[in-house]
Amino acid sequence: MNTSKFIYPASGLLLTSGMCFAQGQERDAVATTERPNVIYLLCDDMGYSDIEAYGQQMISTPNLNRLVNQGMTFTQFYASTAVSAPSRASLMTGQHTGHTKIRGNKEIQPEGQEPLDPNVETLGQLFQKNGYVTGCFGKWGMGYPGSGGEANDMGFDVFYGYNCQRKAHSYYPEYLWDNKTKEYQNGRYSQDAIHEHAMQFIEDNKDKAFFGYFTYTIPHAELRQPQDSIVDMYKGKFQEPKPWYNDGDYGTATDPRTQFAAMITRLDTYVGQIIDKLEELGIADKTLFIFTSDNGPHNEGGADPTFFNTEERLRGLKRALYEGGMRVPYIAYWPGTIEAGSITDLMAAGWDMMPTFVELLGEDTNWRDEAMDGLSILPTLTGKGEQQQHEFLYWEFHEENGRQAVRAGDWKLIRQNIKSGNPTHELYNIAEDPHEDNNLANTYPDKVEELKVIMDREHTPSTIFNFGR
Amino acid sequence: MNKFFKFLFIVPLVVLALPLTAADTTDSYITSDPFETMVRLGRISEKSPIYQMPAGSANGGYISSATTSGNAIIYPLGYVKSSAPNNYFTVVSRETSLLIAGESFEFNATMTVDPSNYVITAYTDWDRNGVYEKEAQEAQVTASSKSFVQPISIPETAALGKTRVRIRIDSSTPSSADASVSGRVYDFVVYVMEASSRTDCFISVTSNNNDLGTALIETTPNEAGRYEIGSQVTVKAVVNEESDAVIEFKGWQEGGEIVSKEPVYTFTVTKSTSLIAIFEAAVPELATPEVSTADDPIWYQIMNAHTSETRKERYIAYDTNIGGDYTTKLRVEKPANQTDKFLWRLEDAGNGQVYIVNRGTDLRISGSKVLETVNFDATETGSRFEIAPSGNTNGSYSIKYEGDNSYLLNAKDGVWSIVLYNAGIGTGSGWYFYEVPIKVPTAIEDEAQSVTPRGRLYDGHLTITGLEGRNQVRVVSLSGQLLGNFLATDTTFEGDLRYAERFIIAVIESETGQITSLKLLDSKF
Repeated sequence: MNTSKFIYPASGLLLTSGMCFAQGQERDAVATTERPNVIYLLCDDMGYSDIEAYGQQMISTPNLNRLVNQGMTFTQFYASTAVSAPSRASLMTGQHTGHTKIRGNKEIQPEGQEPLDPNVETLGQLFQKNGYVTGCFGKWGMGYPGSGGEANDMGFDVFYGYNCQRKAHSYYPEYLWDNKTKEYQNGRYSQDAIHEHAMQFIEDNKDKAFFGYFTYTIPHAELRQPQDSIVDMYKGKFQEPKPWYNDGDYGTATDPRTQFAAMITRLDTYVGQIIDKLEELGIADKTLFIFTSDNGPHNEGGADPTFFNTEERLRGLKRALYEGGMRVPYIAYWPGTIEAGSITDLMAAGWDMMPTFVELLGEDTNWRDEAMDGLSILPTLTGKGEQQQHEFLYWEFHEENGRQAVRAGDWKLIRQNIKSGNPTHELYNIAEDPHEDNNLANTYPDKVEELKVIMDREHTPSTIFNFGR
Repeated sequence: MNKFFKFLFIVPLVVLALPLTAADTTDSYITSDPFETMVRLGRISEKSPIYQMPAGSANGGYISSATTSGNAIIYPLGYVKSSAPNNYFTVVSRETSLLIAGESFEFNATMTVDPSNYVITAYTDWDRNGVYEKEAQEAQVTASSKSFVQPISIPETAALGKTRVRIRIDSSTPSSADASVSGRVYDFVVYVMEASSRTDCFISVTSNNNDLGTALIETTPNEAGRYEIGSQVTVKAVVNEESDAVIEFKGWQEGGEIVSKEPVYTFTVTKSTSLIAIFEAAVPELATPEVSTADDPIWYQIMNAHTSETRKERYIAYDTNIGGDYTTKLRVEKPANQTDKFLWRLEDAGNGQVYIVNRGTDLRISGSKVLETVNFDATETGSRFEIAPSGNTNGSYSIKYEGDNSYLLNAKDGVWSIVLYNAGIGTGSGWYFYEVPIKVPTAIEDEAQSVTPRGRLYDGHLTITGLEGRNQVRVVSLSGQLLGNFLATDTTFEGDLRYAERFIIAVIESETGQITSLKLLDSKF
């Protein structure tokens, strides 16, 4: 790998275009066991039961099992919504999808998506402010090239990967972005390239403090990858009744079940290599590593989530505001600080990460002008302090006629078909009925009205995403 | 049935099969939280083999219940399935069994068909290398009870961790575990654990159908949620008396055999045991459709006569909760049950025609006289139909829109809505009428006695309101273990459970023997 592409401000080297710091910002922090490095690995379209610890029985994920045994596993962690861009925007801004600017996948031709609000500081900027070196490796999707909302503009010293979600549908892209410069790939598998850059970022910053936002696009469609020993593990293991052929968006996968399984194991392998690297460098105890996903499982490009989740623990796929569309694996690893093998049913969501990292860094909760919607989950992670509980979680989704959902305690209200002007409401008791089979809206009308109030209050008007109003 | 009771009893089976176990003991892989259990079991083996999925197709019946019993069992399997799996190949991991090496156990299963017409074969992978080996012992089949017992021995050298027991149900002898199947293949995920020197066992009870009845253990367990070998345990089966259906308790089933027909059954603990309380609603019978009145109704399930795999056994249903599987309130749905949405009566509309009236809503099947494109609904006015033998040798009936032979009520495949069609006589436009026995009230309900008890649980403190007279209140966990036994003498009862449990069932028995069950969630959690 050409490591000369990595240019860190702290080293005093010349910055590439678009990489600049606010006056007085220095990347001089050093990670400690109390104020650690952070790696947030957000994979793409991986569902709740796609890994063994969360019930998967057909796909091997030994490294994530190791992570579960050495870290803390959340059983009720929610992505910020059920598709990519708004889920990531909410994570980045600490605002839920009723408040953050990007509430849907809004594509801007020829490449990229609607940019983040430049006035709302991001996780990257939070860490930069605290002297951390920051890097994003994978898919960005929150600001097209030249928009002022690229990763390098929004708090990341280093970016390597896809600017555009649509371009990320190809695992063999013509080019990836190295900061703001196109790097032509010549047939290279993108995830290997992205992973190598991420690993180099860890290596290069082992003596500093760093925040790595690793947004690998596995297991998003298309279902293509190197046909190597990982794929061989699954060759011939599954029946393949539904081959997928190139539709112009996703490439051909004649054995999509095999390819999907191998993609999960490949991601698991990358995770194992990251953990090994942290241990090898002696910085594992000074690094908080978090593994999670941006939304529920997809059925695109030949993917067959019902096959891999025959017992269907949760209802719904990507784009649904049922549990399956949003509840995702979340594993936190920080040896020496997080209790090994611990499991929590704390109800938390993507927008909780901003206040969590604010507390981790010892930053003032009023560090920026805009309010944060989440709660810090640091007390749960460290076992120190009192964990606050959410009064409610709120989500919205702007495709397929529009959806909103609120979870308050064990109750969850889902509003669908909003753009029709005649929305439906479904009420579920998630503790009793996690699969959301029994709509209790008619039985508990008062509860429906109570949650509607939250729903109506939390959706602030947006000129871009406003349910067709 | 009151709505509260109805909804609360529809919970994932995995929860029902879980015993109480403290989370901090060494063998506490099974907890009262199914998602925590999922993680604890999911990580037992860091690396697991990848098993071959055989080719094939579904044929015949399926396993409706399965348990494990014997010396090898630390935690018994409690698998119940009330409808056919979607695929011929099924992996079962939500319900599981914990085993110890060097011992034997029985895999006990009941099927929906006579298993003696099939070849039952078991395969295991005790060295966890991903390759199945055939179990040397043969399954013992009992045709009369549609059950089989498969003895299985675990070698002392068995590798610890997650493995599988593959049960094949073939129409002919398979050449290997991975051979193509015409029938069904089940991979039951099990865990081989280190042997312990415990002298107590798990006892769990499960109802085969929670809408029909509840199973509970009356005997208090030890602090680990277990029972000492040699001790006496009493279990109790409680029929859901609030159900409209006529329900019969058939007995306690262990290993495919009915071990007792008594609702209250006491036995001596010798091993970890999973008992299934078998409740049966009176079976609807094929009938000649007749008109009836609201005061003296005859209720039918109306099943489409098509026989292709996806279209067969679909029943007319009306449900305002459309959900993800259907697009219309009125549809042909499977599987059927005896709830209101599947029940219809025929009301005289004059001229030999009828209205088809839904039991729950009193709405009538309704639509325009347009072929194929108009989805029928249910309204207060309804459409008129003539019901007459279709003429097909299968004995089905045609439902003719206003008596017109060219406009037949039809189950539209794909979307499963109901439309009019001018073909498919005796198949997609053919219908069977099954008369459903519904319990007749024995007396006019006294308004004062129709108050429904309601319950609340907070931090182990139970409050029940709406009681009348003296009532016995038994509180049990979802695996049937007794958490408290109280006498309530007032309209409101309050009591503390022996220890906090997130989910409970409160079984309230009045002096007259009337039983009401409430399922409650501790709202503190």
